[in-house]
Order: sequence, then C-alpha cells, then structure tokens
Amino acid sequence: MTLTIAKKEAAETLRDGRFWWTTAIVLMLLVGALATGWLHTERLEAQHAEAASAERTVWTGQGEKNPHSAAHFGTYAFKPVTPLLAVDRGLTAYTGVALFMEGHAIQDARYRPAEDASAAARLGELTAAAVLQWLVPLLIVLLTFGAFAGERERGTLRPLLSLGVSRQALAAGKALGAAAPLALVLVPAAVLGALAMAVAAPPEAAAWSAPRVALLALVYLAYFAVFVGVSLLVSALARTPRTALLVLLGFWFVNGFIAPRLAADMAERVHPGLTNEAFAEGVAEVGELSWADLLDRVTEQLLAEEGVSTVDSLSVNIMAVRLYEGERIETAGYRALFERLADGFEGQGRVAQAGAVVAPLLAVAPLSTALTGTDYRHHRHFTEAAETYRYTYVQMLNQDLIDNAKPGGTWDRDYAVGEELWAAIPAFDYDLPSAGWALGGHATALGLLGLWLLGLAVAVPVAVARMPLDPR
Amino acid sequence: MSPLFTVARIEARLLWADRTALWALLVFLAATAYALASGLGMRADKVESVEALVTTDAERWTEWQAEADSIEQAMQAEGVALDTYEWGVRSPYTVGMFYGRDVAVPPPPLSALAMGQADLYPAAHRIVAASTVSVGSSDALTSPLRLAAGAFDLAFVLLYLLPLLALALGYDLTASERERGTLRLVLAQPLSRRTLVAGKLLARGGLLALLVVAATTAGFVLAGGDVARWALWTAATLSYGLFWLALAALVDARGKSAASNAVVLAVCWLGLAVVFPAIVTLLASQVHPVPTRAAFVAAARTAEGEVLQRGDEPLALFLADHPEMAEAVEGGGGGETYAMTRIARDALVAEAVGPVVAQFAEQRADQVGFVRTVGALSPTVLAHAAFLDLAGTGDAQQREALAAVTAYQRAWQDYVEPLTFAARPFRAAAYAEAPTFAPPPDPTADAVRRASGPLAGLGLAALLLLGFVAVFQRRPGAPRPPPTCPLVSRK
Repeated sequence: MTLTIAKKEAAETLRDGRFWWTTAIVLMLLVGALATGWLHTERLEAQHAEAASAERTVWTGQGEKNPHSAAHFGTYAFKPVTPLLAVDRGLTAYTGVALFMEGHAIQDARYRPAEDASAAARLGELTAAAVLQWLVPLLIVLLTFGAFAGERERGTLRPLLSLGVSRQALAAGKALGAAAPLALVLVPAAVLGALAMAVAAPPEAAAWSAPRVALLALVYLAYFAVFVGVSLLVSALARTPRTALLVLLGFWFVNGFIAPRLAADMAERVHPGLTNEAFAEGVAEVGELSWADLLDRVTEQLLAEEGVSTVDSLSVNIMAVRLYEGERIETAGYRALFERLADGFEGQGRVAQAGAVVAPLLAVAPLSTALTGTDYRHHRHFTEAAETYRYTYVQMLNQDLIDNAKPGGTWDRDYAVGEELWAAIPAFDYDLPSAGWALGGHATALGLLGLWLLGLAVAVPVAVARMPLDPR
Repeated sequence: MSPLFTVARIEARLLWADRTALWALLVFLAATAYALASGLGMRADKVESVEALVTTDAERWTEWQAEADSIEQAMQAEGVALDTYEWGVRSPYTVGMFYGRDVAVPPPPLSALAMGQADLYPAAHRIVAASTVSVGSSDALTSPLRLAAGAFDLAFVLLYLLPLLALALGYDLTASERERGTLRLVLAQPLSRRTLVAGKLLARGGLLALLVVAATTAGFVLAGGDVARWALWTAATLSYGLFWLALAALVDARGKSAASNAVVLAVCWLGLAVVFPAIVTLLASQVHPVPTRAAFVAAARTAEGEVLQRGDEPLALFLADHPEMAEAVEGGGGGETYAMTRIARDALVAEAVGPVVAQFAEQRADQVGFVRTVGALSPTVLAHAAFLDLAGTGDAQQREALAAVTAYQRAWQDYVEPLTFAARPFRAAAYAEAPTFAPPPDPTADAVRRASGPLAGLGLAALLLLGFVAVFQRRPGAPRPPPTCPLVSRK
C-alpha cells in the first residue's frame, strides 16, 4: 500500500513541468558552483605549491649566517587547500593562508581571503553547500506542503482513508513519494560528481575525500529527511494548505537565514573569547621573561653540571644554551595563550551548534564544514602542526649553536653556517587529518541531528494519526 | 474623501486584524530591538578596546620620554657628551624599529548599525620602521565563526527581514478576495482596479514606511549620526521596502491564488537576494581574479632572499640614493650599521614587491568595481552598498583607513631614518616632535556621494516596479468553481 501511494505521488510530481524546470535550475546552479569551485581550488593549490617551493629555495639559499639569524629570518607555512573546497568554503575565507614561523614568537596566520574580496562577498557565496542547504529544502517544502493539507481541502483525504489505507501507510507513502523524485535527480548528480572528482583529482586527494564525501552525503540526506518530516508534520496539522505553506516558508527562512547569524551572535555573548587586552596581557606576560635572570640560572646550572668555577672553562657556549632554554620557556607560555584563544573559538562553535534544537541547519552546516575540512578545527590542526615544526626547527638551529659555537660566556660573533644546515632542516610537511578526526568535535551537532530525525519519526506518525480529515 | 484614501483607511483596519501581517510585524520589531542592542554593544566593545590601546601607547610614550630626559640629566651631571647613547629609550634604532607606536582606527559611530567590513580588518597596528611590506597583514582576534556568520545588526534586519515583512504584507493583495469572490463586489462600486490596488498599497506601504522610519530613527539616535546620513539611509530603506512590496503586488496581479503568490515570491526573493549576489561575486572572481596572498608572500620572500644575498651592497645603494644621509653616517660596526642596513634592505624589498602590490590592488579594484556595477541588478546588493557607505564601514573607507596607516608608517620611517643614519640620539625633544597618527575622517559629503549611486538604483528599481504594477492589472475574472471531481483536480 505504501509503495502504491509513493508511486502515485512520485508520478504526479514527475508529470508536473514545474518540478522539472525547478530541479533543472537547482542542478545547473549545483554544477556551476562545483565547476567554478573546482577551478578555484586548482588555482589555489598551484599558487600555494609554488609559494611553498619558492619559500624553500629562499630558505636554503640564505647564505652564510649565524643559525639564530636564520631563526629570525624565519620561514612561511602555507595552509593546504582541501580537495573538497569546491563543496563548502566554510571558514577558509576568514582564516589566514600564510603562517610565519620564527624564533621567540608564535603568530596567527596572515592574509584572510575575505579581506581581498569585495564587501558584497559577505552576502553569501555560491557553493554546492549553499545550494544543498538553502535551495533543496525550499524545493522540498514546495513539493510537500500540500501532502495532507491539499488532500484535506480537496476533500480526498477522508475517501482515501475510507478505502482501507492505514494512516501510517499514507504517511510513509507520502514521505517516500516526496523523496523519490528528488532522489531521482540528486543521486545521479551526486554519483556523477563523485566520479568526476575521482577522475580529475590526484589519487591521494581522491582517497582522502572518499570517506568524507560518503559521510557528507549521509549528513545532507538526514537534513533533507528532516525537511520532508517537518513538511509532512506541518501539512498534517495545518488548517489549510496556505497556512502550511506559510508556516513552512517561515521555518525555511528562519532556519536558513536568521538562525545562523543569531546563533553566532548569541554564542559570542554567552562564550566571549579572549579580549584584545587579555591577549595583549598574555603576550606581555610571556615577554616578561627576564633574559638576564635566565642567563644567571643557566650559568649556575652549567657551572654545577660541569663542575668548573669560571664561565670560560665551560665546554658549551652559554648564550646558545640560554637561547635554547629561553625558546623552550617562551614557547610554552605562548602555546598556552594561543590554546586559550583557540579553545574559546571552539567553545563558541559548540554553543552555536546547540541552537540546532530549533534550526537543523545549525547542526548540518558545521558538520558540512567539518567534513570538507574547512572548519576552525582543521585550521587549528594546521596551525598546531606548523607550531610543532617551528619549535623543532628553531631548536635544531639552537642545538647547532650549542654544538658548534665557541665555548664560553660571550656570544660567538664569528660563527656562521651555510647551506649544509639549512638543507638539513626538513621542509614543513603537513597531512590533512582523517574523516574520523573531523567528526570528533561535533558530537553536539550529530546528536541534535539524530534527535531531530528521531523526534520527527515519532511526531509525524502521531500527527498523522490525529489529523483532522475534513476541511474546517 | 477621495476613494483612494477611503480604500487605504479600510485596508489599514483590515491589516490590523490580519494575523500573518501581525506576526511579521512583531518579528520585525523584535529583531530590530535585538539588532540595535547587539550592534551598539559590539561597537562599544571595539571603542573600549581602541581607547585602551591609544591610552596605553600614549602613556608608554610619555614614560619613555621621561626616562630619556632623566638619562640625559644624569649624563649632563656626569659631564658625558649627550651625543652618545646605548640601546634603549635614547636609541633611534630601539625606538624606531623595536618599540614603535601602536595606532588604531576607531570604528565609526554608525558601525553599530552596519558593521560591514569593520570587523574584518584589524583596528590596531604596530608601526615600526623598516617594515613597509607587512603593514595591513591581519593578526586580529575576532572569531572566524562570527565573521563567517556575519553581524546581527540593523543593516542585516533591514536587508533580510524587511523584504519578508513587505512580502508578507503584499503577497495576498487581492488573491484571497478574488478567491472568495468579494473582489467583484468591491469593484462593482465606483472604484477602478487601479485605485483599489493603489489604496491597498498605500495602506501597506504606509505601515512599512512607519516601521522603517521608526527603526532607522531609533538607530541613528542611539548610535549618533547626522541628519544627512539618516535621510539617505531612510530613503534607501524605503525604496528597498517599496521594491519588495511592488514585487508582491506585481506577482499578485497575475490573478492566481495566494499560495501560488507565496511560492513565486519566495523563489524571487531567493533569486534576487541570495543567488544573484552570490553569482555576481563568483563571476567577479573569475573575470577579475585576484592572485592569492600566497603568491604575494612568495614574491616578497624571494625579493628578501635576493636582497640578503647582496650583503652590504643595499646599504651602499641606499646611501647613493640618499646622499643627505651619507654625510652623517659614522661607519663601523654596532647596532647603527645594522639598523641602517635593515632600512636599506627594506627599501629594496618594497621596491621589488611594488609591482606585485600594484597589480594586486588593480585586480582587486576591478573586482570590486565589477561587483558594484553588475550587482546593481539586485536590490539587496544596492541596499547593502548604500548602508555600508553611509555607515562608513564599506570597502572604500577600509582602504582609506589602511592607506592612512601606511602613510603614517612612511612618516614614522622618514622621521626615524635621518636620526638612525646620523647616529643621533632620540632626545626628549624628538619624542615631542614625533609624528602622531590621525585617523582618517569620514566626511558626510563623501559618504553621501558614494551612497548616491546605490540609492538612485534602488529608487529607480522601486519606481519601475510600481510602474509595472500600475500598467499590468488582470481583470478579476470569475472565481474558480469548487472542484467537482476530486481525482481530476491538480494540486
């Protein structure tokens, strides 16, 4: 019985010309967004790769100088471009692309792409995610708002149920009948898109993307299921099809356009991050490290260790050891500060996700950005990997000083080293994290999405069981 | 009373009883109140932060000046020549290249109403000599999640909720009456179709106008703006609201059901307010692609690497270009030569990177220009541009602020350079005469000039649509008979 109803509903939809041209537009926009996104991704990747190799050439071609000067000349790490950037831009426009790594300092990534775009870009970008999060739900609403309300007004609901169709079968049939035409259109498109990417992308990128794309498909499927459920629920309970349509349009509008901004605003209120002053204070605190005191400590310690009484009899250069120690202490301080900052941002994100109780998009959008590798956690993963590299390479330089500089208590002005050392320091190599890791920080979002599905699975049958059969 | 005003009066009373309109109204008012509170709070935080920074910098400056003074007095007492100095508050190297100044561009008062681009760019900059290339690189602490979501300010409410209100008020202009059959009865009176529609639009437009004026006036009074900007902002908003109301009337004039109107209007809104601006941005980035910053960084670093290879040559070249400094240079090792070398190298790097920066700026200007011209086809883009220009938080103002900071960096470097090269101490008098940063003003005349384009576009769009509404009016037609065979009727 369910299948018969589903087939009838689907056939009716597929016969409707309006369905075809609206889906044609949606598909065109989707393909356009993916194609341009793909071109953009390729261009970015090429430029980042070029910049990284130019940076390596500059680093190894530094010439002869003191290793610590090289630590201040520093080196750049360029944020890798995620292969799924074409699907969802996420936060990539608002996080820096180049991270400068030098001794005695930890910095934030520089040059956010949004700063180089026009103000109108803040109004929204055309990505596959935008189409899937805004356009397809509208399509679902338009296809299903009259599922029960329309039949009720036309007077066909009571006769239908009097034929012996159970209410639940009717509900299931309507749901399936609404989903089927959409699936008919979206599934081949998704499969084609995945195949295109598998062919066009390099093998590692394709391997990295495959599980994420699969999970993305599931997330969006759940999102569409939620919308089908809400539409059927409202349609069952509404007085007239017009009321159902207005309520659903209102829900779609608030869900898509008001809730994200409101949630972000309230999250910042509830969970304010580090203020500029607090951050500056933190930086000043780390900078308070007294290099003179450190020198005394290091001198004392070394004299004790080596059992000598004068600085000149030491076997290492004190200044080099002090640099090593100072770097260790300052790095610990700065890392703690940046961790506080990043934790604050992640906390805000989790609070905003809690708003998914009212608007399912607040769960789906973060999951989408997480799975495409464009959320804040991925940015943090990159900056933390870069920070580890920074500490390693700076201490390698300092260690070289300790090993080779003239022992004693004064700075070895004449010690210089060349390409052998620069080339010995490996280039920054970064691997994008796995899909499992990506979902890690989004338990709230997953949970709430699941709750929506569960709630609707319960509410829709109840609503259909109790819905009035006659128009008021 | 003329039939037009009679109709308007009756419609106003009917509106009062309409639940959809009431709901949309309440949501709009609540959102406006929240937006004003949120925007004012955000600006207050930023202003506090900027003021704290400026105060700290001024205090530090005075402290250093006092320290320099006391050191000089001590030197005088001991009979040491004042020409000598050590690393610290009397060294131009230290003060010019290590201490530097902190400058901040405060957010304009109306940024409380339209945050625009002001949350994206750093308000504060550390200005030091010999770092011309990195001024403007961001190190801000705003949450990227908040930036991506956007600010919930009055501009947002007016851009997104006002159309919702206008469409909610206008989607059912005559549709239900036509369905119920009462439209024919009304038109049986000595009343033309056009007058009826005009009267309905007048009532709804009047309500909309009242709300808009109330919202903008409240915003301007709370945020503190001048009358000219208020007038233009209100005019832009009224045109914007009128556009959507006219669009609703136009869709209603097709003669279909109210539900059908709602569907068409939802699609129109999505197309004009969301999809079209996004497509324009996309096209702009394809037609005028801006090279990524990675390319810029690569160019700057390659230039830096090359300059470093040249050893002492940059300094020699610099002195050849600036003979007035060559006379005063005292050769020999020490911090001064290093400082001079750094300045010389920075000048060379800036010169090498100059063409890249210029190309960058050119492409970016082209992109922004493209968006402004092609985007003019969407009223949302126009209204957005108008709000940002009037509030002082648009593209142009941000570029000006950055230019002012860059100019100050130049002035600072010009002040410190001669002292560094002549190895003259940074005396207490030098502290007093050092250039200070003045944030660029945002004169109302400029804001008005920039916003006049979008405003004209909005007015034109609204008038055009009203014209279409006046011309295109379907006869009410017989109401559709109730369906007799349920299995035949369509949804």
